[in-house]
Amino acid sequence: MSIIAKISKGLSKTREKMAQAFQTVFESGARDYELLEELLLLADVGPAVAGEIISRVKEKKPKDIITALKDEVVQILSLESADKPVKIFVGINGSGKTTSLGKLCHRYVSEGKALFVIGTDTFRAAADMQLEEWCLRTGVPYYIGKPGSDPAAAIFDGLNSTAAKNVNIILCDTAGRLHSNKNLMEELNKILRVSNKVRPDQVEVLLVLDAAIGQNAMEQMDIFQQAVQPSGIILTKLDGTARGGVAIALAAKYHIPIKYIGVGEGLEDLLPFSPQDYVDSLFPEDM
Amino acid sequence: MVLSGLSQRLQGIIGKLRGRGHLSEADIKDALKEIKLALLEADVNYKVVKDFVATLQQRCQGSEIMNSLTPGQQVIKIVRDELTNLLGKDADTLSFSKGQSTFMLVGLQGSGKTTTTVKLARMLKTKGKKPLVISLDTYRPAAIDQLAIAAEAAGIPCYRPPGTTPVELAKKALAWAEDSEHDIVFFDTAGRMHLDDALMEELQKLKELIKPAEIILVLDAMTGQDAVNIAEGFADRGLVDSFILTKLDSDTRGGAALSVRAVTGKPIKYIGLGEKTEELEQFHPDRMASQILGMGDVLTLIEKAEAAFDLEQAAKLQEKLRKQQFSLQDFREQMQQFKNIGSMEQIVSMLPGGAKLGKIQYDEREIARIDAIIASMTTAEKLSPSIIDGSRRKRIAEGSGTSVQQVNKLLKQFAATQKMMKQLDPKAVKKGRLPFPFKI
Ligand SMILES: Nc1nc2c(ncn2[C@@H]2O[C@H](COP(=O)(O)OP(=O)(O)OP(=O)(O)O)[C@@H](O)[C@H]2O)c(=O)[nH]1
Ligand SMILES: [Mg+2]
Repeated sequence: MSIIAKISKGLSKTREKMAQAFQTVFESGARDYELLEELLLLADVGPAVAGEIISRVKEKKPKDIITALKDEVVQILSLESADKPVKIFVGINGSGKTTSLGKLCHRYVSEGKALFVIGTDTFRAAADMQLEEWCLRTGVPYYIGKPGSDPAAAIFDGLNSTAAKNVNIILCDTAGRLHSNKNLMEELNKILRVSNKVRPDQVEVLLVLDAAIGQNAMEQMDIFQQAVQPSGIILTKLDGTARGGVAIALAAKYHIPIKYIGVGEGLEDLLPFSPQDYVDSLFPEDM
Repeated sequence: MVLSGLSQRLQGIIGKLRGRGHLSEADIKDALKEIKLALLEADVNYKVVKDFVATLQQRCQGSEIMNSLTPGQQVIKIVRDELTNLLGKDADTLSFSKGQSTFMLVGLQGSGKTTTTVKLARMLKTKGKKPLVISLDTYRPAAIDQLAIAAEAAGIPCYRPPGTTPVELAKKALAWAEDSEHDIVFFDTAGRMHLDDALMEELQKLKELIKPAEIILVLDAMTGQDAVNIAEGFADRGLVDSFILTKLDSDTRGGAALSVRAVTGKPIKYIGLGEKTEELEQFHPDRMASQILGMGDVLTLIEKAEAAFDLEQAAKLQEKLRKQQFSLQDFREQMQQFKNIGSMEQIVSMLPGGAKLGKIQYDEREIARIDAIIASMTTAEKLSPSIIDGSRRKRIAEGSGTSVQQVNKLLKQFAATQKMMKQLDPKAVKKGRLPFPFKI
């Protein structure tokens, strides 16, 4: 199935609404920018960035405003960041860290890469068993911290274990935490500091973001940015009706690229992010 | 702090209106536009915002405003009324069936169902009920273990029925629970997308089987515009009786709360405020509306204060305030009472205008230190701090394990508080509006 098809699979309800909106735009011939703004707002882009995008499109006085709008958004989303071998998954509770990590294991294994997984969620009940299950499913060796133990110690031991020495990629899971919890953000910073010490210049942080989240993601990013400087976003749960438009606002403000998208709970349901495909799924042509 | 963002924003807007003798149509239009933006930024659904602002506009154009001597205040009142309307009027608890009551917790993946299941069970256990929890999540790895472990940690019985499908598990569990001593049974279900027909039909089957007293939709309070689609998706299939909003400790503006109630008419009953099992509170729509407008969650504060305050002592204190005999001894007593009410941050957030202060960094250790310093004083010193000279300061510092500078600082703070109290409007004190004794 193509990526677009996969993202917009079952999206009929939202699409219907959008179709109606676009129909009005076309029929009236009027450059109904307010309607476009509504579409952006309904996708969670947020009033500030939606307003900016619209005014930039307006400036161009385009013939085809839909294409102009898409181009604008694609441009905002066309970002890149270097790939590093040690990847730490962070994010708020339930955003999809462990599942995305499991799906990424599957992807790398099928590409023939040698992998290792480190689990540092020693807090949430059964977090260790959940991660272990994904490792067994994908056949990836792992080191998972014991429940109740120190997460920074877990990542230190994991990174220093012999099994971690001869692999291409190391994926590290962390406990979910709200950005508003200072102590937990401090703990995350410590996990990163320890990792950087063991593997200087080889560590990157991936923020896992639920597509249904609203404008709170901006504050969230602000604080995660201060604590661990994420270099990429994984946008999960795009198989629902949520569009994850706040990631556009995040890209505009923080210039952090979306690296992967999650489109379900199965092994195969993690896809590399393509700005054009994503934007096409936000505003499908065939509506 | 709950909803602080929206609250701050609306306060700014309302500040501009407050106290104005006359509002032109343009003034009102500007204010409404800002309210609209503020609500959108707070993730209130676009359609809900549109309706809301239209209603406001209508009411603001009426004679209510134009004939009012304080039109700014009147606009605030209207906004607050309408916000409360949107959130629902009364606080609500779970409804029980005769005999054994069953509840199903449903929702999207990662919304917080499992944690909330244990929280609800714990809450009812403290009220003398005998709850049981059962997981029907055969999909997510280790989900059943998660509930079992979390329930055990909270001292809640958890039954693990044999079987491989949710329906099978539910049948076994119902049969088992029927003969048990448990009067309440919570079923935790797997997270699912409202678009997933197969999984939604499965929930409907479970509903038929379990015949729950209530199906509770657990929703992440940080959800954006999609909250409405989610709520409608479950409601259209008859799978929502009430809501619980989770993760409200995230500083979210929580617009989802406004939206789901508006589109389904179903009440929000509880809110989750942390990962710990006891961090579940009843949802009070009126208080939330007031808090959004920065009027402070005064009711919650009063309730908590009543539970913690020694009323007689409070009356005495009031008398002293009036006579301006507020001493260090009183300062300490009052502080201890505040300690009983809750953390400083919580208290401040509930005070009118408290939201405007944002996150204050009030150090609980600092309170403990102040407490120790005052405890090291003699009664004479507590009553008339002016006698505390250099050598007394040194003794007090040593006795309390602090430094002379810290003692000096406290004495200065107290002097400032005393001065502030002297300037207080005696009428306000008489009416019982106690001033906040700390520099905030
Ligand atoms: N439909 C759908 N569900 C997903 C997706 N990604 C994750 N999930 C589900 O979301 C729920 C939470 O995922 P987890 O991977 O446990 O999230 P987490 O961030 O590790 O959670 P904590 O460690 O508890 O903070 C699980 O039920 C997953 O199956 C996705 O792309 N689509
Ligand atoms: Mg996890």
